[in-house]
Amino acid sequence: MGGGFALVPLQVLFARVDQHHANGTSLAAIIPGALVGALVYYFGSARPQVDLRFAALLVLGSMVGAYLGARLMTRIPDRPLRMAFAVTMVLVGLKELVAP
Amino acid sequence: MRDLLTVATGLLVGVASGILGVGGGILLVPAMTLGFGISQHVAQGTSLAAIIPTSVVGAVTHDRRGNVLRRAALFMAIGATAGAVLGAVVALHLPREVLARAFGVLLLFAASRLWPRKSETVSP
Repeated sequence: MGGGFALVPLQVLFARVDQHHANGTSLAAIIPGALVGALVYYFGSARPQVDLRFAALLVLGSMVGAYLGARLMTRIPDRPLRMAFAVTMVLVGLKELVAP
Repeated sequence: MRDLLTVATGLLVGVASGILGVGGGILLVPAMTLGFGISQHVAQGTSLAAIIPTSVVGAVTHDRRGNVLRRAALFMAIGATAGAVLGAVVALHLPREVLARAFGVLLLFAASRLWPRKSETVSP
């Protein structure tokens, strides 16, 4: 996990940042953490715990997706964007509770 | 076919990542373990690797539209990276299920606080 699910609500609830800036800023802030994490998973044990081929295929789709998603976000008003984030949190929260 | 599905999964998670401002690890890991039968550890490592270019593209796109608070991003990045190291140490000493359930409760609570109130006006 990069930590975006913690960084976005923290900014909105405690720093009173609007949802658009919170989402954009969170995405920038998780990059170094993910880098360190990935390096630990790759070099931290006897066998690399990273499937590079699978990651490359995922990235092929996710880079296009992230660009489209980020462009789309600017068109969504603050209120529905917050609702979408809250709904995703509920779904993920329930998943973690039921099937940890 | 499996490769095509992998790219399609990436595309979907990427869109969610760009809209919601999350790396997508929380969506990628279950997709990989449940959908592709990858072990939990490799799924976590691979998702972290996939998050890097995804977040870079998302963050650059957001930044071009002025939606990145650069100073805040820098400080949060330092905090989050330090937190990740601490978290990894804690995770080694606590069962995964306990951590996941605690995280689930925290998410549900935060979601209830995040839901916009009727009277609330959000400052830009």
